[in-house]
Formats: sequence, C-alpha cells, structure tokens
Amino acid sequence: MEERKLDAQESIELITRMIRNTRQRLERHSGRPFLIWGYTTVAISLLNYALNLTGADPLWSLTWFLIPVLGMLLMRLFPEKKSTDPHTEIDRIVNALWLVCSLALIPIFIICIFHGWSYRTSLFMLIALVMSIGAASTGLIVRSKIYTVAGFLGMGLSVLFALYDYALIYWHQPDGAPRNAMLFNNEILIFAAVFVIIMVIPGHIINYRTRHGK
Amino acid sequence: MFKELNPLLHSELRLAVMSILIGVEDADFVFLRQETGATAGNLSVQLDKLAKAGYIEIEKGFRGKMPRTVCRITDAGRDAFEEYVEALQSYIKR
Repeated sequence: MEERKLDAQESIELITRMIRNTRQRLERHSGRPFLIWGYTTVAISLLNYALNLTGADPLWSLTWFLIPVLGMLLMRLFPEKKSTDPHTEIDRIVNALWLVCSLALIPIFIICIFHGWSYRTSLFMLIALVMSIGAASTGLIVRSKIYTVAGFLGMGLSVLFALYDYALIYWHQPDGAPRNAMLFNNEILIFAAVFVIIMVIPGHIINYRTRHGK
Repeated sequence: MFKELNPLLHSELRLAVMSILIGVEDADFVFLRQETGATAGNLSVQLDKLAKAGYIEIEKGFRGKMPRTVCRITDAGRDAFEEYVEALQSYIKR
C-alpha cells in the first residue's frame, strides 16, 4: 500500500475492506483464563472436600481464599501468548463484565457470613450462579456457542444445590438433626462439577479449536 | 457544492490505518503493517504524520523484552474521519 491519492469510490471501498477485515478478528479465541480459574477452583474445592472428610480443623477452610491468590498468580505466570491482534471494544466489554462478576463475590461472601447466624444461604450456589452468568454473557458477547451453552447449563445446574438441600430433609433424623453433617460436604463436589462444566470443558474446547484453526 | 476532502486522510495508507483504528480500542504496529501490507518505513512515516495532526496517539513500550508500538485514534481523529466520510458521500451522491 502506497501513499497514493484515491478517488471517492476507491476510498469507500478501502474503508469498507479495512473495517470488515478488522471485524473478523473481533473474537479473541482464548480458553486460557477459563482453564486457569476453572482448574484453580476445582483443585481448591477438592482440597477442602478432602480436608472436611478427614475432620481437619475448620480453620483450614481459609484455604478457599487461595482461589483468587492462585488464580491471579497463574494468570501472571502464564500470560497470553504474544499476539499482534488489536484490542477491541469487545475485549473491553468482556473484561468489564468479569470485573463486575468478580467484585460481586465480595458482597456474596459478606451476605453468607452474616446471614449464616440466623439463616443459611448457599455460598456455593450464589458463586456458581454469578460465574455461570459471566460465562453465558461472555458467550453471547463474543458469539461463542460453547461459552453460551456452558454458562446457561451452569445456571441450570445451580438449582442442584437447592435440590440437594431439599433432599437432605428426607435424610434427617426425627429430631430434625441431619443424619450425617458430612452430607453438606457433598455440596463442594457439586460446586466443583459446575466449574468443570462452565470453565474447564469450554476452555479446552476453545483452545483445541484455536490450535487446529477451526 | 462538494465538501473538500481532508488531504491528510485522502491517501491510501493513511486512510487504511484510520479505517482500522476507528473500529478498535488500539492496534499494534505489526498488526497495522500486516493489514495494510505497507513497509515498516513507509508505515512509520505515515503514522508520524497522523500523530502530528493529532489524529492518533502512538505509545511506545515493551511486551516482555520486545519493543512494542501501539496506536489508537483520538477524538480529533474520529471527528476528522467522520467528516471525511461525509465529504465522500457528497461525491458519491452526485
């Protein structure tokens, strides 16, 4: 391309072509953040499940806070591969969406801690729901069927927490006490399964497609 | 009465650069070179002209150890591009 003068028709054609070419690159196909956050959440969930099974000190539940620490550390250790692709409005919107979803976890923690004194809210269900909303919205914004389906599936699966709680009523003893308090621990397995579905599986599929140019 | 076409934008390479930047938040020098097919030297000269006119901002930095030049369109550049397209339309409608 040289510094040559164009006529009006050529100018319009050039503008149209350049805008069209750039628009085709709008979707950033990277499963990296989904894999990092998905695997971190699943690993810490399974760790806590095992700790609860072995009857470890409740203070070990503070290991849940390793999720943001490890997640951010891994995001820095495994940065996005060097790409010359431009940053688009879509990138900015998706980043803003995940910032909002992540910040929403702070009031969720506070709500669950203080509600817990009089009324038990499901921390796992709320987190799974917010993250599923994030995944589904990302899918709709970047026009990715994988993320959209995974996100909506996660939203549906969030109901499992309530269904499981409801089922526990039938396992109660006549005095209302649960037959086995460890049954609540199984919610962690549902939580981990939801993250496998909304983040780990879509992340692998997107990365596979990107590698194979599909 | 035809509107006068902005001579700074009425050049193939500068118009191509502005058309790319109008649709993105920012773009890498390498990306602009790939998309326009221009030589690095020529692109660099044209980017400087656009920057001197206040139509784009050029940010030089590093990604890891590699130098990286990022360009983004300014509000003045956006206005100039819109005026240019309006002027073009008056020629086409003739």
